[in-house]
Amino acid sequence: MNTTDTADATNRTDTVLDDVTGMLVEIVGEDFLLDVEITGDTTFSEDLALESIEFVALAEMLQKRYGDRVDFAAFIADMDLTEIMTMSVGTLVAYIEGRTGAVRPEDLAR
Amino acid sequence: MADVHANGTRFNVQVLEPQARAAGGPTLVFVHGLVTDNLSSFYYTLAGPATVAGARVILYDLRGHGRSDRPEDGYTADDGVADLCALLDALGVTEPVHLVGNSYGGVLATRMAVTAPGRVAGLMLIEASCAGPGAAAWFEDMANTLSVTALRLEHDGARDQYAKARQRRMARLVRHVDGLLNRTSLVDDVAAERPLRDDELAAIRCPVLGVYGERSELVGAAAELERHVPDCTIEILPGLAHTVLREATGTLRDILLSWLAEQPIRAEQPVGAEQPVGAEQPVGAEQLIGAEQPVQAAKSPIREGA
Repeated sequence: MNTTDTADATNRTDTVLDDVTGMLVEIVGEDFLLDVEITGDTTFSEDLALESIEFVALAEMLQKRYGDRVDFAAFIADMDLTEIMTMSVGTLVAYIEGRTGAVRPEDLAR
Repeated sequence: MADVHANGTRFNVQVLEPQARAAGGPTLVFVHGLVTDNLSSFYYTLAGPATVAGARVILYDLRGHGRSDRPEDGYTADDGVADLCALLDALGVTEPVHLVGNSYGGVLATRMAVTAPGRVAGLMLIEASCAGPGAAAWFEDMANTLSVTALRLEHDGARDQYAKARQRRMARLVRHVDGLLNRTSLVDDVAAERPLRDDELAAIRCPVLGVYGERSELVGAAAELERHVPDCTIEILPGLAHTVLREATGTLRDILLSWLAEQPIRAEQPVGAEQPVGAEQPVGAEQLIGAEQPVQAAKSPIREGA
C-alpha cells in the first residue's frame, strides 16, 4: 500500500465514521454524547449505552444510507445479542467499508 | 421504513423482506409484550430465521412502547387490534397474516383472530393466556404489579437519580416505564381487560400453535386452548418458565419454522368482503399492548436507587 492509498483509506474511514457518528447522534441524542468522543474503539453498549431497539434504528439508517450493499441482517446473522451490543464502532465501520468496495477490510485491520 | 401513521398514532415499524419469497409465502407479524418489551426482542431472535425461510416479516412497536408514540389512552386489547388492522392497511397488506405473539402480545393476536378473523391466517402464541379464569387472574396480577411499580416510580424520584448519575440506559428505562404507567391508561386498561369466552375460542378457524414453559404460571392456558380451539397444536418446553423467547430461542425458532412449513400455500388473494378491515374501529381509539417481564425490569432501578 503506497502513501496515496493510505490517505484514501483514511479519508474513507473518516467519512464512514462521520456518517455513523451522525446517525448515533440522531438516535442517542446530542446531550448524552457531549462528553463522549466517538472513535473506532467506542463500544455501542458500554460507551454509548445504546439500547437494542436503538441498534435496530441504526441498522435501518445504514440501509437507507448505503442501500443493499450493506446487509446488516446478514452481518449480524451469526452473532448473538451480546456480541452485537459489545461490538465497537470500528468493527461496524470496517464492515461497511468492506461492503462499499473502495477499501478492503484487510487494509484496515492494522 | 421506520414511521408508519395508523389509527391516529405514529408507529415504529420494521418490514423485512424474505431472502427468496416463494409465491404464496406467508406474511408474519410479530407482536411483542408489555411495558419493557419492544420489537427488538423478536428482531434479534425469530425474525431473521423467518425471512430466510421465505416469509415476509413485519415487526412493530406497540403504542406506548419502543420508538412508537405514547398516546394517553387506547391500550385495551380491542384498541390493539384496531391499531394492527390500521397498520396493515397503511402497509397495503391485504392478505391474511400469521401472527406471532409473545406474552400479552399473544392476547392481542388472539383477540384479532376472534374479532377480525379474515385478517388472520394463523396464530403462534408464546406464553399467553387469553381465556377463562386463568387469563382473568393473569390480567389482574399484571395490573396489580404494574400499579405498585407505578406508585414507586411516582414517589421515589428514581427518574432524577438516574438522570443525574448519567446512567443513560437505566434513566431511559425508568422514564419510559414511568411515562407508560403513570401517564397513560395502560394499567387501567389491563385491569379492565376481559378474558375471551370458551365459545370465542371455539370459533377460531385458523391454525393455532401454543408454546408454553413447563414451569410457567400460564401453562394452564395450553389445556384451555386444546380444549376449545378446533385446530390447535401445543408445545410444552421442559424446565422453562415465562421467559421462553429469551431462554429457548433456538427451540422456538425450530418450532416456528416447522409450523410454517406445514401451513398450506395460499393463493394471493385480497381480503374478502366478509372480512372486517377495520371499518368498525372507533375513531381515536389507538394503541397496543404486549409485554415481557414488565415487573422485574421496572423494579430493579427502584431497588438500586433506594
